[in-house]
Amino acid sequence: MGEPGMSSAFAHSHHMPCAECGASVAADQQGDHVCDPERRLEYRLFLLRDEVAGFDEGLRGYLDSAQGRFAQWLAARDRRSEPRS
Amino acid sequence: MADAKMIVKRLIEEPWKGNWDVIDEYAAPGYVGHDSAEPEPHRGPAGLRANFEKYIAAFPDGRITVDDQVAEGNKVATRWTGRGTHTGEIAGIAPTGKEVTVTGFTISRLEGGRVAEEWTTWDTLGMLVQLGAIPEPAHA
Ligand SMILES: [Zn+2]
Repeated sequence: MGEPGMSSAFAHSHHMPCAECGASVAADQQGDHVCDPERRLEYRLFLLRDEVAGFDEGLRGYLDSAQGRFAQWLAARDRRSEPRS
Repeated sequence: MADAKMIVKRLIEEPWKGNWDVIDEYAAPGYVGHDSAEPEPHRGPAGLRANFEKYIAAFPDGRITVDDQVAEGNKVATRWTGRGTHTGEIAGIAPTGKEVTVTGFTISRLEGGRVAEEWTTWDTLGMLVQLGAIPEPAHA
Protein backbone atom coordinates (compact mmCIF):
# COMPACT_ATOMS: atom_id res chain seq x y z
CA MET A 1 0.00 0.00 0.00
CA GLY A 2 1.12 3.54 -0.63
CA GLU A 3 1.52 6.32 1.87
CA PRO A 4 -1.63 7.67 3.55
CA GLY A 5 -3.68 9.81 1.21
CA MET A 6 -2.14 8.27 -1.91
CA SER A 7 -5.49 7.14 -3.24
CA SER A 8 -6.89 10.66 -3.08
CA ALA A 9 -4.08 11.84 -5.38
CA PHE A 10 -6.26 10.43 -8.19
CA ALA A 11 -9.25 12.36 -6.94
CA HIS A 12 -8.06 15.69 -8.35
CA SER A 13 -10.74 17.66 -10.15
CA HIS A 14 -10.16 20.49 -12.65
CA HIS A 15 -13.21 22.27 -11.27
CA MET A 16 -14.35 22.68 -7.67
CA PRO A 17 -17.47 24.39 -6.32
CA CYS A 18 -16.78 27.65 -4.46
CA ALA A 19 -17.35 27.06 -0.73
CA GLU A 20 -19.15 30.41 -0.42
CA CYS A 21 -21.52 30.40 -3.39
CA GLY A 22 -21.38 26.85 -4.83
CA ALA A 23 -20.37 28.07 -8.32
CA SER A 24 -18.16 25.74 -10.32
CA VAL A 25 -14.70 27.32 -10.57
CA ALA A 26 -11.83 26.03 -12.72
CA ALA A 27 -8.67 25.23 -10.74
CA ASP A 28 -6.62 27.87 -12.60
CA GLN A 29 -9.24 30.57 -11.95
CA GLN A 30 -9.73 30.06 -8.23
CA GLY A 31 -7.63 33.12 -7.37
CA ASP A 32 -9.75 35.35 -9.62
CA HIS A 33 -13.18 34.08 -8.59
CA VAL A 34 -15.54 36.67 -7.13
CA CYS A 35 -18.86 35.41 -5.78
CA ASP A 36 -22.04 36.71 -7.34
CA PRO A 37 -23.97 38.04 -4.31
CA GLU A 38 -27.29 36.70 -5.62
CA ARG A 39 -25.84 33.25 -6.17
CA ARG A 40 -24.26 33.30 -2.71
CA LEU A 41 -27.61 34.13 -1.12
CA GLU A 42 -29.39 31.41 -3.12
CA TYR A 43 -26.73 28.88 -2.12
CA ARG A 44 -27.00 29.81 1.59
CA LEU A 45 -30.79 29.54 1.47
CA PHE A 46 -30.51 26.19 -0.29
CA LEU A 47 -28.21 24.87 2.43
CA LEU A 48 -30.63 26.12 5.10
CA ARG A 49 -33.72 24.81 3.26
CA ASP A 50 -34.54 22.20 5.92
CA GLU A 51 -34.38 24.78 8.69
CA VAL A 52 -36.44 27.25 6.65
CA ALA A 53 -39.07 24.55 6.00
CA GLY A 54 -38.86 23.48 9.66
CA PHE A 55 -39.45 27.06 10.83
CA ASP A 56 -42.86 27.25 9.14
CA GLU A 57 -43.87 23.90 10.58
CA GLY A 58 -42.60 24.86 14.05
CA LEU A 59 -44.51 28.12 13.94
CA ARG A 60 -47.72 26.34 12.89
CA GLY A 61 -47.26 23.82 15.71
CA TYR A 62 -46.70 26.63 18.23
CA LEU A 63 -49.78 28.55 17.08
CA ASP A 64 -51.84 25.36 17.51
CA SER A 65 -50.55 24.71 21.04
CA ALA A 66 -52.31 25.98 24.18
CA GLN A 67 -49.49 28.47 24.72
CA GLY A 68 -49.65 29.67 21.10
CA ARG A 69 -53.43 30.03 21.19
CA PHE A 70 -53.21 32.07 24.38
CA ALA A 71 -50.51 34.29 22.86
CA GLN A 72 -52.77 34.92 19.84
CA TRP A 73 -55.74 35.71 22.11
CA LEU A 74 -53.57 38.11 24.14
CA ALA A 75 -52.27 39.85 20.99
CA ALA A 76 -55.82 40.24 19.65
CA ARG A 77 -56.97 41.67 22.99
CA ASP A 78 -54.02 44.12 23.10
CA ARG A 79 -54.81 45.26 19.57
CA ARG A 80 -58.46 45.90 20.53
CA SER A 81 -57.51 47.84 23.69
CA GLU A 82 -54.92 50.06 21.94
CA PRO A 83 -55.97 53.71 22.31
CA ARG A 84 -57.09 55.15 18.97
CA SER A 85 -55.23 58.29 17.99
CA MET B 1 -30.28 14.01 -44.10
CA ALA B 2 -28.63 15.93 -41.30
CA ASP B 3 -24.88 15.74 -41.00
CA ALA B 4 -23.66 12.91 -38.69
CA LYS B 5 -21.83 15.29 -36.34
CA MET B 6 -24.95 17.45 -36.04
CA ILE B 7 -27.15 14.41 -35.29
CA VAL B 8 -24.83 13.34 -32.47
CA LYS B 9 -24.47 16.88 -31.12
CA ARG B 10 -28.25 17.33 -30.98
CA LEU B 11 -28.77 13.94 -29.35
CA ILE B 12 -26.20 14.82 -26.64
CA GLU B 13 -27.25 18.43 -25.98
CA GLU B 14 -30.96 18.80 -26.68
CA PRO B 15 -32.59 16.49 -24.07
CA TRP B 16 -31.06 18.74 -21.38
CA LYS B 17 -33.14 21.60 -22.81
CA GLY B 18 -36.31 19.50 -22.68
CA ASN B 19 -36.25 18.75 -26.41
CA TRP B 20 -37.10 15.05 -26.15
CA ASP B 21 -38.13 14.86 -29.82
CA VAL B 22 -34.48 14.41 -30.78
CA ILE B 23 -34.50 10.97 -29.15
CA ASP B 24 -37.34 9.75 -31.37
CA GLU B 25 -35.75 11.46 -34.33
CA TYR B 26 -32.12 10.42 -33.92
CA ALA B 27 -31.88 7.32 -31.69
CA ALA B 28 -32.32 4.04 -33.59
CA PRO B 29 -35.04 1.67 -32.30
CA GLY B 30 -32.30 -0.79 -31.36
CA TYR B 31 -30.12 1.87 -29.69
CA VAL B 32 -27.52 0.57 -27.21
CA GLY B 33 -25.61 2.97 -24.96
CA HIS B 34 -22.53 1.86 -23.02
CA ASP B 35 -21.71 4.24 -20.17
CA SER B 36 -18.63 3.99 -17.92
CA ALA B 37 -20.84 4.87 -14.93
CA GLU B 38 -23.44 2.17 -15.58
CA PRO B 39 -23.14 -1.58 -15.05
CA GLU B 40 -25.63 -2.33 -17.85
CA PRO B 41 -26.06 -0.59 -21.21
CA HIS B 42 -29.12 1.60 -21.88
CA ARG B 43 -31.33 -0.15 -24.41
CA GLY B 44 -33.62 1.51 -26.92
CA PRO B 45 -34.70 5.16 -27.08
CA ALA B 46 -36.63 4.64 -23.81
CA GLY B 47 -33.46 3.47 -22.03
CA LEU B 48 -31.56 6.49 -23.35
CA ARG B 49 -34.32 8.84 -22.19
CA ALA B 50 -34.45 7.22 -18.74
CA ASN B 51 -30.71 7.80 -18.35
CA PHE B 52 -31.07 11.50 -19.27
CA GLU B 53 -34.01 11.85 -16.87
CA LYS B 54 -31.97 10.43 -14.00
CA TYR B 55 -29.27 13.10 -14.39
CA ILE B 56 -31.68 15.92 -15.22
CA ALA B 57 -33.61 15.15 -12.00
CA ALA B 58 -30.36 15.69 -10.08
CA PHE B 59 -29.17 18.69 -12.15
CA PRO B 60 -32.35 20.36 -13.48
CA ASP B 61 -30.46 23.41 -14.80
CA GLY B 62 -27.77 21.18 -16.36
CA ARG B 63 -26.42 21.66 -19.86
CA ILE B 64 -24.05 19.63 -21.98
CA THR B 65 -21.94 21.48 -24.52
CA VAL B 66 -20.11 19.75 -27.34
CA ASP B 67 -16.50 20.97 -27.41
CA ASP B 68 -15.10 19.01 -30.36
CA GLN B 69 -16.07 16.32 -32.83
CA VAL B 70 -14.21 14.07 -35.27
CA ALA B 71 -16.02 11.88 -37.79
CA GLU B 72 -14.78 8.89 -39.73
CA GLY B 73 -16.91 6.45 -41.71
CA ASN B 74 -20.11 5.82 -39.75
CA LYS B 75 -18.62 6.90 -36.41
CA VAL B 76 -18.40 10.24 -34.64
CA ALA B 77 -16.15 10.97 -31.65
CA THR B 78 -17.36 13.80 -29.42
CA ARG B 79 -15.66 15.59 -26.55
CA TRP B 80 -18.17 17.33 -24.29
CA THR B 81 -18.52 19.30 -21.05
CA GLY B 82 -21.47 19.07 -18.70
CA ARG B 83 -22.32 21.66 -16.08
CA GLY B 84 -25.20 21.89 -13.63
CA THR B 85 -26.33 22.62 -10.09
CA HIS B 86 -26.94 19.64 -7.84
CA THR B 87 -30.47 20.13 -6.48
CA GLY B 88 -31.73 16.53 -6.68
CA GLU B 89 -30.40 13.26 -5.29
CA ILE B 90 -27.81 11.39 -7.34
CA ALA B 91 -25.92 8.18 -6.45
CA GLY B 92 -27.40 8.39 -2.95
CA ILE B 93 -25.96 11.91 -2.44
CA ALA B 94 -28.53 14.34 -1.05
CA PRO B 95 -28.75 17.69 -2.90
CA THR B 96 -25.77 19.95 -2.12
CA GLY B 97 -26.63 23.07 -4.15
CA LYS B 98 -23.11 22.87 -5.61
CA GLU B 99 -22.44 23.46 -9.27
CA VAL B 100 -20.34 20.77 -10.93
CA THR B 101 -18.44 20.64 -14.20
CA VAL B 102 -17.54 17.31 -15.79
CA THR B 103 -16.01 16.32 -19.10
CA GLY B 104 -16.60 13.21 -21.18
CA PHE B 105 -16.09 11.46 -24.49
CA THR B 106 -18.66 9.63 -26.57
CA ILE B 107 -18.12 7.55 -29.68
CA SER B 108 -21.32 7.16 -31.65
CA ARG B 109 -22.01 4.66 -34.41
CA LEU B 110 -24.65 5.71 -36.91
CA GLU B 111 -26.93 3.59 -39.06
CA GLY B 112 -29.23 5.16 -41.66
CA GLY B 113 -29.12 8.65 -40.19
CA ARG B 114 -29.67 7.51 -36.60
CA VAL B 115 -27.41 6.70 -33.68
CA ALA B 116 -27.39 2.94 -33.16
CA GLU B 117 -24.70 2.51 -30.51
CA GLU B 118 -22.65 4.74 -28.20
CA TRP B 119 -19.68 4.28 -25.90
CA THR B 120 -19.27 7.00 -23.28
CA THR B 121 -16.66 7.55 -20.60
CA TRP B 122 -16.91 10.57 -18.35
CA ASP B 123 -15.40 12.02 -15.20
CA THR B 124 -17.62 10.32 -12.63
CA LEU B 125 -14.86 10.56 -10.00
CA GLY B 126 -14.62 14.33 -10.63
CA MET B 127 -18.36 14.67 -10.06
CA LEU B 128 -18.11 12.79 -6.76
CA VAL B 129 -15.14 14.92 -5.63
CA GLN B 130 -16.94 18.15 -6.57
CA LEU B 131 -20.03 17.02 -4.66
CA GLY B 132 -17.86 16.27 -1.63
CA ALA B 133 -18.68 12.53 -1.68
CA ILE B 134 -14.95 11.74 -2.06
CA PRO B 135 -12.38 13.93 -0.27
CA GLU B 136 -10.36 16.31 -2.38
CA PRO B 137 -6.60 15.72 -2.17
CA ALA B 138 -4.85 18.01 0.31
CA HIS B 139 -2.89 20.76 -1.43
CA ALA B 140 0.78 20.84 -0.49
ZN1 LIG C 1 -18.09 32.02 -5.04
